Amino acid sequence: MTPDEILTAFKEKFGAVITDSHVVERTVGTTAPRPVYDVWIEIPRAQLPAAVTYLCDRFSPHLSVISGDDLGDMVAFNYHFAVGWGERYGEITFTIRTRVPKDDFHLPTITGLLPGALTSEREKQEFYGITIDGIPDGRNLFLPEDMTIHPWRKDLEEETQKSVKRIVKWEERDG
Amino acid sequence: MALPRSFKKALWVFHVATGSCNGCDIEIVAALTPRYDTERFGIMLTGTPRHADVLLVTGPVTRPMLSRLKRIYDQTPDPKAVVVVGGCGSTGGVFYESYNVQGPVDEVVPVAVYVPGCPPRPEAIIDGVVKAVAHLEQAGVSK
Amino acid sequence: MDSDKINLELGCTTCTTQTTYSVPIGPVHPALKEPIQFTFRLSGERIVGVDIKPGYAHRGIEYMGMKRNLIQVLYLAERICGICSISHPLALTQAVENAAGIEVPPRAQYIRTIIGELERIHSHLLWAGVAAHELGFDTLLHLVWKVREKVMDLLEQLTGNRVDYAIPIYGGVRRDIPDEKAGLAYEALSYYKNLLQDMINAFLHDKSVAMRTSNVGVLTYDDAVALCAVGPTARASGVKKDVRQDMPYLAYADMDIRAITPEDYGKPVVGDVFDNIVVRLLEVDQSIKIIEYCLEHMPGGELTSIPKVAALLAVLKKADGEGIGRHEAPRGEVFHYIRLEAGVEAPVAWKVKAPTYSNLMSWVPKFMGDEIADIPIIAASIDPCMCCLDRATLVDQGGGEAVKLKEELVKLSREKTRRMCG
Repeated sequence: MTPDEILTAFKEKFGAVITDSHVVERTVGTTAPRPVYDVWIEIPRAQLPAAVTYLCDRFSPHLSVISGDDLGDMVAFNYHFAVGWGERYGEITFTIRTRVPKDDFHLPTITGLLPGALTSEREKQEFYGITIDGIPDGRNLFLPEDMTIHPWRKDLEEETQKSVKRIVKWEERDG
Repeated sequence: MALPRSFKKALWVFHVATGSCNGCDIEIVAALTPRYDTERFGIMLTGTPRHADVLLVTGPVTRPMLSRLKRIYDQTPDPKAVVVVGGCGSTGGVFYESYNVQGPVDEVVPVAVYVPGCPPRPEAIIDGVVKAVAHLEQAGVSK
Repeated sequence: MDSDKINLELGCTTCTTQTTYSVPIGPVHPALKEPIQFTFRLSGERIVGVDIKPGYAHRGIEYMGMKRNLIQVLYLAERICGICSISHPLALTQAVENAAGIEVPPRAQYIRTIIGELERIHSHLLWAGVAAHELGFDTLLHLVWKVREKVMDLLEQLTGNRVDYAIPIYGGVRRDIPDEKAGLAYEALSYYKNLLQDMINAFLHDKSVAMRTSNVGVLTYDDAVALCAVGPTARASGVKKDVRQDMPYLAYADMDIRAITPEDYGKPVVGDVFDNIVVRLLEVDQSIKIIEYCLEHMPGGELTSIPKVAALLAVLKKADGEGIGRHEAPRGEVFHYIRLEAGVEAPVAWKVKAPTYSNLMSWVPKFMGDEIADIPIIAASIDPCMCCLDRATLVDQGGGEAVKLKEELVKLSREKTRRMCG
């Protein structure tokens, strides 16, 4: 799998919808250096299911994880896929990023296409307070069921701080 | 009251992991296996706190484990001693300032022996359990 | 694959209405952030539904990390898991090096690889012991843990610690492996080479092990792919996923590494617990070869590109960008995503993905249709850790609930072994 192959395929299929795309080339190996690639694309939320469907149909992806990044008034969600696994140097990481505004905070589920995404989607729901539309199981995964804080949201930090127990008494220690 | 004779050759421990990273936990298991072989001293890991004399507690006590640690302590029959294994159980260690950490252990249950280290070596854990016996004896005498 | 069926089982509403017992659960699986709670739905002896609730060991690592400087984060990453205690630092350092554009000298790459593979040997032996214990072979548990001490000794001699080696730092490693210590490594490796056939005999040629593990806890190829399983769990189902092979890094880029599946042992892929044993034992052999290669071809030169911590912190503070770090840990792919902003010491975004996080879902098809007595060994088959299963809630068909101690489950498991051995 080459990065051009997958990028061209996506550009043909989705065209102008892709708001950003770039390839990061890294060199690995000490005796005979070879490149490996990270590919990043950004698409609007509405296109996410279509993009993942296309990816699943064409490239048999492995979903590593969905990561989030609080940017202030919106959160960027990165769907970290790996495509081309199974052969030496065959794999590239393929990240689909989509930005979700906090005042309209929901994302469609992709568990119908890739059941393995459920763990990650449940985690995003509890840690960012986002609503994943159509998630088959929306309970808390890591946090206790009665906990309503969203620790990875920077604007809700005050709320999270109320649950933080001060183990180290910095004031006492530093005088 | 001195300790019953049976304690000398049969000290049973129960291991409670309260959100530790597993580093201490594998060292506890290593202490039980042939290299260190604590069973020759009669120190044995038991499956339930109701049979235990010593509680080996690891981890910084996460929120869901808080009430469970208290309950386990209550379920352990007297005389009993709590041995905290590892830095995060003793002081919180690297796990400070988190919404889900409620430790350290000595703020939840009374602690007899602290075994420092991240993680402590199996020898240190065995030493901690031996010190717990001394603690049990002392507590018995003062009664 | 029938994805609807799996979603249905995970969303099992009858399970969620049950009262779960608030009882402490034993040893923790750090990578998954647990002691874990299972809720099984049973029809007679057969498992027809399972609900999994992790989170008992959730310490909020990422939250804490996003408030500390990157050197402190490294210490934190090391303590995500005590068994994979180099896997997370390796993935994190690679993510940060990618984000900040820091070079790693060749010698440091080789040292990182050696420690990473030694960790795989100790972790797989640990797992083999636990698997033997769950089947009722405590003799084998003690035997395996006895031979495991050899690699622990070596790790201590090379790094100064049995666990938490503190070897990687951004831009290199903190300790060298000098030639005199390489001799110790060769000695330990030849010890394991001689031992491997004994291990294979003890596990793979034993009639009762085969009876208890064949066709138990099956994960099919299609399920493994759809559920994004990683590591030996996926490879035992014939999925040739291995980050060391697919997207090489460190010294793995210099060697020809292939993902190991049961086919390498000359048997067809079933995806059961037996195949899990096969893959893990063969990977011990693979690790020995990788370490030997690294020791023989160890390049000279610097240990780190930025030796002074103050200078390193200054570089990291100026760094601006995002990076991905991946490492094939003993249990599978560890994934770290990090974003750094210039002028901010702490990472702005940090996401950690441990292997069991990916393998969590594969428990569901593995449990389906098997017996209660098989629960311990199936739970152990994805290598979640020693005994995440100290207490599980068993739901019988009538909807009543009984709490089974891990002891009882192990007893059931042992009785089954005895029954099958006649």
